[in-house]
Amino acid sequence: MASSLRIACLLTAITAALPTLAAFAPATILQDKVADARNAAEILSAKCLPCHNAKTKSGGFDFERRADALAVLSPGNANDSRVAHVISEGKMPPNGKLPANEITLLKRWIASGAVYPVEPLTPVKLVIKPLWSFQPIQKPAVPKTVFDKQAKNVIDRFVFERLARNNLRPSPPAARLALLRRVTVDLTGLPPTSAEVTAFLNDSSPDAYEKVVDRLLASTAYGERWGRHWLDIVRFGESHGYEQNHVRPNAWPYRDYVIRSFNEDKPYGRFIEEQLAGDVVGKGVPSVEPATGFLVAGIHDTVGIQTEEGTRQQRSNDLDDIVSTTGAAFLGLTIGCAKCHDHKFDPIPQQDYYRLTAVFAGVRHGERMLSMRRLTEADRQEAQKISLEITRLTNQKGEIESTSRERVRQRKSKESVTRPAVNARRNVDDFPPVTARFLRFTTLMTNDGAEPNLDELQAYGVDKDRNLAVASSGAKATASSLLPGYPIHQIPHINDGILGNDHSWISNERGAGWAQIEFPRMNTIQRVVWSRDGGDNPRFDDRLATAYRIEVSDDGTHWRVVSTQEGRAASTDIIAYTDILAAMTPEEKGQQERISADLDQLKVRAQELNPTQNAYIGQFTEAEPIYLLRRGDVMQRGEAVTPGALSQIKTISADLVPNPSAAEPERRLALARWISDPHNPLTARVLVNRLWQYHFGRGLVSTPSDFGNNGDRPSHPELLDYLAADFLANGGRIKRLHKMMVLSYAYRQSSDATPQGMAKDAGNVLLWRMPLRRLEAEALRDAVLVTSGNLDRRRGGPGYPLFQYRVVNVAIYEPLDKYDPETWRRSVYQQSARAIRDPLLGAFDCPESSQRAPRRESATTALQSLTLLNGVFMTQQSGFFAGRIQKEAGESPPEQVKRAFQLAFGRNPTPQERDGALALIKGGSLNDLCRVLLNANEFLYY
Amino acid sequence: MSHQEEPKNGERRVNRRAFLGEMGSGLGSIALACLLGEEATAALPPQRKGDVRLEEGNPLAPRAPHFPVKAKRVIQIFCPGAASQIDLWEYKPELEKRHGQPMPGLTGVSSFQGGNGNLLRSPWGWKQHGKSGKYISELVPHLAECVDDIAFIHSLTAKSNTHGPAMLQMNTGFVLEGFPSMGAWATYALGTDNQNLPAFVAIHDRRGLPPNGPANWSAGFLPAAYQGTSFNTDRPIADLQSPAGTTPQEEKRVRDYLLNLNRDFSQRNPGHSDLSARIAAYQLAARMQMSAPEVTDISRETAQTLQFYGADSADPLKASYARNCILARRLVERGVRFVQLYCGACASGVDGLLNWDAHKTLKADYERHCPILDQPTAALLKDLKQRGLLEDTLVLWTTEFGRMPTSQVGSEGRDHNPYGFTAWMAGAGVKGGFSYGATDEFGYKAEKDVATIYDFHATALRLLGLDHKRLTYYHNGIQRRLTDVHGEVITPLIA
Repeated sequence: MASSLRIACLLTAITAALPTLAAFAPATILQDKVADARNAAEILSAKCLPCHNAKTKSGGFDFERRADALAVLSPGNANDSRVAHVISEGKMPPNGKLPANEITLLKRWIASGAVYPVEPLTPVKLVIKPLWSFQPIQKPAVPKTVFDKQAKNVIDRFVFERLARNNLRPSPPAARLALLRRVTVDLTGLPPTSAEVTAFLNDSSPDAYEKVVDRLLASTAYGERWGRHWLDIVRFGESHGYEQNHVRPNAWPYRDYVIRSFNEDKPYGRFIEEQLAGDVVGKGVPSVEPATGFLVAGIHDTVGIQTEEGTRQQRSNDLDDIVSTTGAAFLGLTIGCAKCHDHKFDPIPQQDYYRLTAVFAGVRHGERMLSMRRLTEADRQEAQKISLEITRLTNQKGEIESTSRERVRQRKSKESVTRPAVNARRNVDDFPPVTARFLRFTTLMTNDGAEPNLDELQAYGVDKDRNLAVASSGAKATASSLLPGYPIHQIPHINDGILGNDHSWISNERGAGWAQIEFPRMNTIQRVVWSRDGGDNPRFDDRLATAYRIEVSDDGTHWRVVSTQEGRAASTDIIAYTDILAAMTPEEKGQQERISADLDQLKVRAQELNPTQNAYIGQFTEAEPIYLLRRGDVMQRGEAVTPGALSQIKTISADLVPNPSAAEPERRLALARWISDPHNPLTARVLVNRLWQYHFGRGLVSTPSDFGNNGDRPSHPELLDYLAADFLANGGRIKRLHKMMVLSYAYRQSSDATPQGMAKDAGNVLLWRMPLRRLEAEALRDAVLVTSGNLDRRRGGPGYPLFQYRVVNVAIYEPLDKYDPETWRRSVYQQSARAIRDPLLGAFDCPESSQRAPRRESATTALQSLTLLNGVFMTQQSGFFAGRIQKEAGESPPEQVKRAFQLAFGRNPTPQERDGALALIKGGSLNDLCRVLLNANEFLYY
Repeated sequence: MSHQEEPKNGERRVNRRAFLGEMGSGLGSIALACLLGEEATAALPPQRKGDVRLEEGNPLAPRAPHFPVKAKRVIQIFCPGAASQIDLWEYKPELEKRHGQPMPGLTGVSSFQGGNGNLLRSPWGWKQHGKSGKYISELVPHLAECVDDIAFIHSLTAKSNTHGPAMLQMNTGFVLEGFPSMGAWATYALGTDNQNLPAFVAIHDRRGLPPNGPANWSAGFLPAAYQGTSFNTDRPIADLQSPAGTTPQEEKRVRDYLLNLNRDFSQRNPGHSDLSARIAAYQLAARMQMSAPEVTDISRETAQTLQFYGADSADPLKASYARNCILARRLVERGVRFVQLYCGACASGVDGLLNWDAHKTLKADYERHCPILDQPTAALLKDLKQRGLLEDTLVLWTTEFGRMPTSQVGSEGRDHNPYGFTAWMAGAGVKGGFSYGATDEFGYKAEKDVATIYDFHATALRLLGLDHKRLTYYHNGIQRRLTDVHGEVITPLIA
């Protein structure tokens, strides 16, 4: 089987997948023997002969001649036919089960005697269509046209040439107000302020427009706008998705990194390198390290299925997400389609998919702690001291709380026990002093039957403040097993001195497993402190040892039991923290408060000294071996695969690193360099096209993340290549490209229809006018906040939720029923949890970030109207808008109307509009006018 | 190339006449007036060969299916939490006989929450019903009366044994979020017959949203027009009410002034059908404000009907679900294309309390849930039938997977079982009194005519007159389908 598989792969790599015999709609199959024979022969040639031909004779037979295939065909008896069986069960062909109608047909053909229409049959060899986007970029000559007088730059020459060829002409220039609004929304996602409008309308200098463009590109709002586009492309979301969908509170550093990168006009190649290998190229640079958030911005299954297959599948899904997103975002390819078989449309062999997977084989979901400052040796020492002190005080505080908790529990249960029940936060086992070199904690049972979790194992002698088991004192941790696949659950976490679930260990045995500490020398110990989630912000009560044994040993072989759960109360009822506080004696309470205050201070100092930030930007471990998976099935591993890039792009070598077993980060860096190599024909084209799409409403290639045969061909191939070549020649500077596009005449034209244009090119593919576009969800929400005067321009940092969040095992999100000022920041800063969308953003096609969204839909629905007219956010902001008008225009209704129009539309009302507005105010309120303006098409379109 | 080129890339050709026709009949003369003298343009993203041909500006206009069929609309009942196949629908005498014995071949197999104990018989009795003589559990006596209208599929298999992903698979075909729900696909394919109500409605349970929440009725990557709208008789459509304190007269003046502004804007910006579509959308919203309160107002039903469904029940949960069943009927009666109807909510701290996830206390849990489900659902089927609506309404009963025939270690409940479970179909085009497929003698793994959720979806679409392979939408390089690259229509089930 193994050898036939390899041949199958090899052959399909060369011959490529068949276009489609899928065209066998049942109706097209003639129910007679001749047609059956012809159709059967076609299926055999396409799907069986590539391996089972006279040369390869895979499995020892071939289908070229009927006589040679009798044994496996069993003509006349489909029940005995091996072919009929393997195709019915889907065992063959290896690239996937045949469609049902083909199976039915083959069986019928076999049953009726398996007549060959012609002999010998020959394998069908189909070469995949050469892909235009794999061809080298060539800078074309700039065409000349009759409209060249109007051209502002080279872009127009290409656009005009296509127009002229189709007997179309460019539209007149757009009105100045329309143009200002267009370019301002486009570059910053915000409407122009009325001051900006006045300034521009009064600036008659020839470069007035260019000055506006420069101002906009230099504003921080630019990065907030274009960063959001990039976040769409890379499926950035701030919750895990899948079953539990808990939030990722620390995903935002990547979002800030993206915004910063756009604002800094980072060369695109650098942007790519940082996102794939920021841990290497930006090591220790706080502004760059979060870039690797790119790798883990997608969905991650936090539950999984605890079987071998389930664990492998979970890992395979994570890697698939990274490979597919890398392929789509940078290369505009659907590489994920080559996971189970060679790509059906594009020259991407299955092998390539797994070579790319191997590049990322060391990447895992999770947070890394970012150090925001470089430390001196003295800093380091102080930081360490503080960290020990924090642990000591946390223990003290925990002890006070345990005492009080026990008090509550006893009061509640009214039973007397000698020792408190085990709890997830902190447990103390005291025993007569023993001298030992080894300490072992063995779990015998857990409260939920699951694999036990131990967050920290501490050991103390006489000195109750000196943890002898902590790794920094030289102690080593080992364990009976480890639940695979969780960077936050690791054996070294047993004694890393850091409390909390995120630094804990879980065994791989249900309800069992031991953790062991080896001290650097013999120690006298008399107390063991252990916890399951003892951190500052405890969340977990599961996986708790309820029966256990603590043993010590001199040699690691002979053990003496020093403590067990014996004598502990059985109840583990969860007791509310407020009850615990209430049950403290005044003295305890004072002490507890003092310690808390000290802890707060220490933490402030620790943060000052070594400002750190946890960030969901992936963890990097040694690369695991990657295998080609037959049909993408994790249980059918084929040969081991070494890292590599796409093999069919001939302008650049697919060998990434000289040494195939290169260290993990080298692989990613090498791939980043391969992607950003100027000889890579895809990267620049894809990026240029994305910019074009966001500026002109549709891409030159209208399928921005699919430059394959199944995607669309470019509408202006020469222009695309010209811009790509220009982009590469100028260091991959994105702002330069923006400027070219928005300074072009094509961009500055009117969006009005002309009869000629509508008749010849209603879809405006050739750009005889500029499209009129609806504000995207975020731009709409931001525009409302700008107009009401409430937009809070604070940038960066943790996002604000537009939902109420609670966790009952899985996360539950509910929309807000009121919107506090905290939510009045720009929409790019809302916490974009998956599978939940704010009603306003959701109604206006904001993607929910489970899938990559390289292009947004722009639907028009009645529910949008209801949300805009009646939604809580909108009515609230209309009220603020009215308040603002009153403040700025006073109590005179005509002045109010004037100001309202200026703020919403950037212009004064016409007399007719004014009269209508005055009547509206008179019959109701200023609020009514404000609601109308925020709902008007003039407000919604740009 | 010197000859004139047609724009490539599958640009949408606008059927202006159809659009205007629709406007004239449904969308009002003002919107129509705005269109005069204009040609509609392509404002939607380029349409791909293989996508459904949508009408410009009216994505919900009714469209013909691929084949002529009876079913015009769907009610999909969903019991979240995984309702047990072997305690409701599939009788397993062998399970009863070998109660308390270890299940052969199950040693060492652990399911979702861990170890499995011995075989656990269903705590309820089974009797034959109807002309078909189908055995049904005594837990659902009212539904048992409907067996001759129902086609059971006893051999379903799910890809996940975890609630969230498995529910997504049942609703969207995929275990990950981000894909369109079956209801979204159906409305994308067929539009809707009542422009005054949402085309796709998700009626959630009074106890709360199901696992995954709105992802169950998401439009995924399809345009937002195909997203399900969630409401029930206790919670109306969001933002349906005008802001507090505005009088109807004031509201009318707001709308009129808005209309004037938008008409002027259209005149100044000719040739943008989007602008007209939005004018129409506001009128549609106004009509929805009129129609939706009417449809959710169950008090208009006769006392007899309310009683028939159990809406008068002393159990507030049963009464509430009964009202939701009546709402489902009222919606399809008015031409809503697709209705999801939930009986149960998401998981709570106690398994099986708020939904069908009976891990530890099967008997207590199901004796709480079944009376809620049984009478109202049966009444819905019977009521649809007596009104002639079952003729062209497809009713689906679904859940995300099944439960183990064994007890969960140390308990009287059942763990998750994705290897064999039951769903059923009734109504338009469905062969009643029919059972397809079977699990093994204990009800563990699907054994006879094994079916997938893809098959279930392919069949449901086929009953709606849609070929699941032809109903596609281009997204990120792939013509996506509800059935991915799988699915066979279960033809024996079709009448």
